[in-house]
Amino acid sequence: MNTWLSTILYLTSNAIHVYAIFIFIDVFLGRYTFRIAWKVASYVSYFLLGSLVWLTTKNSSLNILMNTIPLFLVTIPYITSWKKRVFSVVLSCSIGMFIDWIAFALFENAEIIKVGFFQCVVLLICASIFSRFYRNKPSFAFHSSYSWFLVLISIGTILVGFLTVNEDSSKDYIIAIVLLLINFLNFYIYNMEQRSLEEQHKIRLIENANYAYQNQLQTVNETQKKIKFMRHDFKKHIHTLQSLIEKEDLKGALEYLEEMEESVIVKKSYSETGNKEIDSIINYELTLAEEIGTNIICNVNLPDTLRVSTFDMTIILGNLLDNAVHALKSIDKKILIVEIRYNKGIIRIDIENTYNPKSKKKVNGKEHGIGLLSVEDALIKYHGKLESYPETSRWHTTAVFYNSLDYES
Amino acid sequence: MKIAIVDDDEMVCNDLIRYINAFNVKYDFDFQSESFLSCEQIYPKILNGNHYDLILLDIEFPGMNGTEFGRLLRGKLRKYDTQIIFISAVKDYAMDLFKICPIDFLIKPIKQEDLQNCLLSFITHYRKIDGFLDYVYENTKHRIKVRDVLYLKSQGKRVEIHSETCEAFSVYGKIIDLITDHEDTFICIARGLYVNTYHIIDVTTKQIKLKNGEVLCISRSKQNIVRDRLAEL
Repeated sequence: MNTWLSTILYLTSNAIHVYAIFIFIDVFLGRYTFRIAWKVASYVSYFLLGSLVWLTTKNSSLNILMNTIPLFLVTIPYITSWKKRVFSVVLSCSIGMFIDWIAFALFENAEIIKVGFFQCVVLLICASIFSRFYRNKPSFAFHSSYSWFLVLISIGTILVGFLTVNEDSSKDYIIAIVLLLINFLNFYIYNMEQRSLEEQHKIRLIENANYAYQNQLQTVNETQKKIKFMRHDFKKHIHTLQSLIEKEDLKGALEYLEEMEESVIVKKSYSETGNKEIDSIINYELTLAEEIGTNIICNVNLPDTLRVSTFDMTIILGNLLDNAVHALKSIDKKILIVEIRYNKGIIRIDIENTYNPKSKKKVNGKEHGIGLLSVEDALIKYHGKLESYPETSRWHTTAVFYNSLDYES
Repeated sequence: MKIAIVDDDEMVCNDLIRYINAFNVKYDFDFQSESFLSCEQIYPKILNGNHYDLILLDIEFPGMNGTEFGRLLRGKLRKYDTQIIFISAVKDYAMDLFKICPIDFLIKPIKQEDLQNCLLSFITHYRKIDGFLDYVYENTKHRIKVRDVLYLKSQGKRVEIHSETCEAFSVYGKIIDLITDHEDTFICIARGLYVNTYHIIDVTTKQIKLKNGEVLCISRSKQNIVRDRLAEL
């Protein structure tokens, strides 16, 4: 075949190859940090670099190197874990390689195989099928430590391929097919693991919802206990006053009344929005903070009725305040600043607390992060965001969300 | 600038006037304050064309209460250029109060420092919308008050200006060039649609409601920007 024609055919094949890789990586890794233009530019650069190196050197080893390292760089702006990035690069390269080798082993002499056109089309079909059926869930990132095994298996198949497929064996294609199947199975195991993680996440959310209910019940219990004590004291006071008046000891009765007035402890109520559930959760958590000797500054400007469900508000406020109170327990200088406000349909919660950077974040065997996962889960419904960052010896948390449900919810 | 104090407690009115005078001296400002003992007293004055930039409004009154008066001001009189700070002895955050779009709430007894902070944030807010947008219309330079502009809509090479005071009209140019000095005041809620934050009374994830009752849709890609910008106000 004419050199120009084969070069054009190679460039077309490589363009299809890069496009297939783009479909796979983009669906698999999901969210991207920069604008789409950056994404397109990075894949185009990847295509140009790969083509240039192959057309000038025709070196297979260098070609594989230029297919993996730059591809890994292309995946960096995706918002995902390093494991998932490595896995996606290794998996896409190994599948590409094995399709290539199978095609070569079966129809070595065909020109369409030599320039890689057929292999790239097969890869594109695989990527399209993958994009049709794969559903990316960014919240269930690659958590398990076993996931590195999957990456190692894929790398292993590439090595086995290198060491065996190039030998002059008529059964080359069988080895390549087996290695390709191992890679497909590898991906299947990954998918199963993701499902299992999703189930675990759901269970954790249910546990946390139960915890929120438990918190509410505790608030109700505390209030009832206080009312019971007040009733009990009230009866006692009435009896004392009655007996003093019966004895016509008016001076004593007056003195007793004065004493009663002095002893009435006006408990500070931090939140009085008129929304009973929200007020009770804030007042309950802040009372806990007060009991451990925290200096509290609290300012709540929230309407009495909200479109955000009370249950979600309880999860958001309960968990954020709970975390702040637990963090305060590990430090001597206890300061808690809570600012909650509503403006033009947006709710903003700012919590600032002192904390001990050295203390571990595990409380009563309950993992600290689960609470924040529940908060994030609740915030998603209202297109909200959660930001948390340390500053000297203080921890800042800000939750901002709409007072209405998001499109999908 | 004129401030009205509406409270049935004369002592509170006198204290607030004293605090405002102290504020004028401290920050070299010229707030003129006037006090009223009921909403019925101030209402006819506003009906007769008196304008107040800020009203410090008590909520509980024996007659017309603060919420009713606020509703009349925003609803019947359509006066959105008068800002309200609610003052009350008890914390009351009924949704009705938020619908009146107050810039703050003060709980009695009011400390001089609290009022001072409120007045400072009012001044910041006021200065932001006190400027002008310059544009060329039929080869002549014109300007429109930022506070009068509801929203700007891009229509090809023209910008449609929707205002509170006149019919919508369009001028040649780009929105970005038009709002150069007032980018903080406008939010882009969809491609080629910039809304004046001053006129927003309510937002949901899907739409924005303006003070004149108009409802505009937020595009999905701008949901984060709208949320974050309004959370900073």
